Amino acid sequence: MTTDPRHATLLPVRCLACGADSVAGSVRCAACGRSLRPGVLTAIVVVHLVASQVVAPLAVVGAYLQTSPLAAALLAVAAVVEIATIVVLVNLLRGRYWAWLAIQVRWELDIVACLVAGAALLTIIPPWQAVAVTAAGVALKVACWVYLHKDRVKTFSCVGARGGWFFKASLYAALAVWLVVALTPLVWLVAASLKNSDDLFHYTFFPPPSHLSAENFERLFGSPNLALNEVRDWPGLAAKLEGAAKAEPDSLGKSIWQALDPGGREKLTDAARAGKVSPDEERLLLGVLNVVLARPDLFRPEQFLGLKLRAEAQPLVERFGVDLPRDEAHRLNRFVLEVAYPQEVARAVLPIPFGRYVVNSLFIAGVTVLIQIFFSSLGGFALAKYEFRFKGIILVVMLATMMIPGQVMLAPLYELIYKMRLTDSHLGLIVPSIVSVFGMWLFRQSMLQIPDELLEAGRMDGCTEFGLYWNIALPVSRPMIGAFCLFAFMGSWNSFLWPQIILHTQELFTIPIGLNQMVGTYSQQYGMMMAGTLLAILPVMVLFLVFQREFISGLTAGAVKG
Amino acid sequence: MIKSLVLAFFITSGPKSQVFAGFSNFAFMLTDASFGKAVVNTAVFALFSVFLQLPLSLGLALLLNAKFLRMRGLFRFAFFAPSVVGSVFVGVLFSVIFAPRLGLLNQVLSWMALVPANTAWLQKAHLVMPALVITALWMYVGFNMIYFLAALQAVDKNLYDAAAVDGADAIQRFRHVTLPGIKPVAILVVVMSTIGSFQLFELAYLMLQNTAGPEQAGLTVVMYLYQKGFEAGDLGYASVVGWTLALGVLVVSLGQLALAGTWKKAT
Repeated sequence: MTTDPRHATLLPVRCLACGADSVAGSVRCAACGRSLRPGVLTAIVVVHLVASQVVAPLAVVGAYLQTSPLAAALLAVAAVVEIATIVVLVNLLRGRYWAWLAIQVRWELDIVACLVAGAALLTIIPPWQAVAVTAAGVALKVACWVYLHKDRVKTFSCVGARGGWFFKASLYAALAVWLVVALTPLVWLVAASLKNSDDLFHYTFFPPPSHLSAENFERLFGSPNLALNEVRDWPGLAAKLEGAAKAEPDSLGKSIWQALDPGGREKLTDAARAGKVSPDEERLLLGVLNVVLARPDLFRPEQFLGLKLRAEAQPLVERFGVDLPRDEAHRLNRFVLEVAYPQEVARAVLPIPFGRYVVNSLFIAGVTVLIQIFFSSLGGFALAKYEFRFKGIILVVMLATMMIPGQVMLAPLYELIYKMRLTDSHLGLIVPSIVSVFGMWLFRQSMLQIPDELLEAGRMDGCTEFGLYWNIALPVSRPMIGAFCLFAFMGSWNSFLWPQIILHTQELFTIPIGLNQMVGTYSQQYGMMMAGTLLAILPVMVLFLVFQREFISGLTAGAVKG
Repeated sequence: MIKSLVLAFFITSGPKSQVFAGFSNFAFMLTDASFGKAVVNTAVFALFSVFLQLPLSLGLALLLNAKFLRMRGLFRFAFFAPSVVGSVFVGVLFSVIFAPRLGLLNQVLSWMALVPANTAWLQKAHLVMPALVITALWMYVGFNMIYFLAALQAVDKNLYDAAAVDGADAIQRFRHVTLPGIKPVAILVVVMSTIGSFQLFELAYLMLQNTAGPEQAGLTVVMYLYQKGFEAGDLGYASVVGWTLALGVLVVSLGQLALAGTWKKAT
């Protein structure tokens, strides 16, 4: 029988099937030959470990979020007690006998921790829930304790057995957990961009297929300037407003509604019901919408872009009080977005030239990539294959610049670009990124491997120095070009701070800047923002899929070798 | 030639404005409460993101390095994918994920009865930093993991067998074979991710809708630099802040390298 020497100090292992004892660390039962790999007992231990080591910290976080410091502190104490015991388990797995004894004490400690946590829960959730949770926790622990004492089985040594099915399964499970964490936001992004504004609140992920809509994308690419006065369903709108005002006795929506004078209100409702809204009434209704929608222009005039009817909204703003606290404004916002028609509201704002942004971004990224590849590889070639004075110093300086945060250069760079009169132009974006130190370094690394004989042979055949670079060095470092392509593209495509500083004209905006502007202006248009984000990350994702291997090896090549 | 242009930026940059200001920029920076706030926020963010990200990345890398693992490519791709998304877009995405009621996080957490569904993460001062740390965690764990994984794959497999024969258990093997093997890369990753966290800007700026968040809870040093230099227009002051940041980064990375040096002697 194979025996693992490191478990020799443990007590014998009892087979759960036939009850015979085997030498500690045995893989199979000496009596019946069954596998001694973890069974029920291990499952209990693992469930308990997860419960205490994952759930307890989560509970602390939860209490913190609920701004209940007392509960958080109590839970933290409980969690510390719990987590401290994991050390015991670890030691146990390493085959120390005293640790096994310590675990007997552990359960009692655990029950204490559980009770403390229960006390904490009392302060944040309804008492019966707290009692129930605590009781369940204590019961679980008591059950474990009883089970252990009943059987006096010492099969803990098997928990982490390498290569066993249990080991493999838990490994896959751990990987799967992060897989879910990593991918869920992206999947959610896709889902959110395919939902209309109502469904965004109703479905966590994808709505039923019939509800899927490309509406967000249509709006992004500037469906024509539909103004609010093209709202068709006035009766529905009025009914919704009224209904919400009735449903919530003290809602802000109701107070808005009531702030209109009663006669006008009735007239408005009637008119809306009949579908015949006079221009004045329409303006009033829209004004209500606008006040509620217009958080940006209430509080940050400079962020106000293209909301129509702004002048009409002013009297209403004054009537309802300009000094709405920010929180209230948010609540108002939400109220109307739920109640009224978000689509129409959104269409009241000017279309976004998103297509323009895409073109701009593609143009800048394309040009930058081409220029960077050319200059970086040329520089890398020179640094790899030629000897010249100060080469050592240049290399050191290059490394140093890679370590210094780029923000240091922002101010002087801005001044330079300003003096060159390149602000608010695409050239101002392209010029500073002509040379990539990182790229030069990458190309140097890959071109160092070109044998000198090859270049010599080229020279003998009458090739110019540039020809050597063009015909020999560049083709040889093709994989690096693939990787660097992606680096450069991502760098340009994702860059935000510099374009944000340089660009002022909307026509010139790149996608990040455009999206940022949308965040400021259309902060409630989640679906549209998600659609924009999705479109923005798609190209990079596709490129990454294509160049994945080169990219990762390029990323890590320098690191592992150096 | 081009290189010298890059260098020129360095030489010309320094504390300066239209009027010679002497050290008043420095003095103002040191007494400005917002700057203090920004430094504290940035340090807290760096601390948490490094201490949460790296162990998790290393753990995932260790798991991914398992011999028998299938679909390694799939896992690697999925883990790495978040870091391909630019931080601007992550900022927009997560500003919605953290939104009250419809946000993914609230929907999940309220389903688990941990928080009420209308928790406004980005509007409460004490929740802004956790939100930023969580986002950075999501984004950069896979990125750091790639480095660890590459390092792990470069560790000589025979060493493990030798250690196993000598009776070293899993933890001992990790401490005495794996750790020394990946140490250079580990140091690199620590330094890199610290530098990266010090430069936090886009993520916070986009998530907080172009503000510093409630009570400036999301103000970072670079955001401060941007506000002072490009929203208020004081370029000289911006470069002072920039140099301070560079100095801070330099000191911290040197400190880390020194620590790594002592660790080297210890093992």
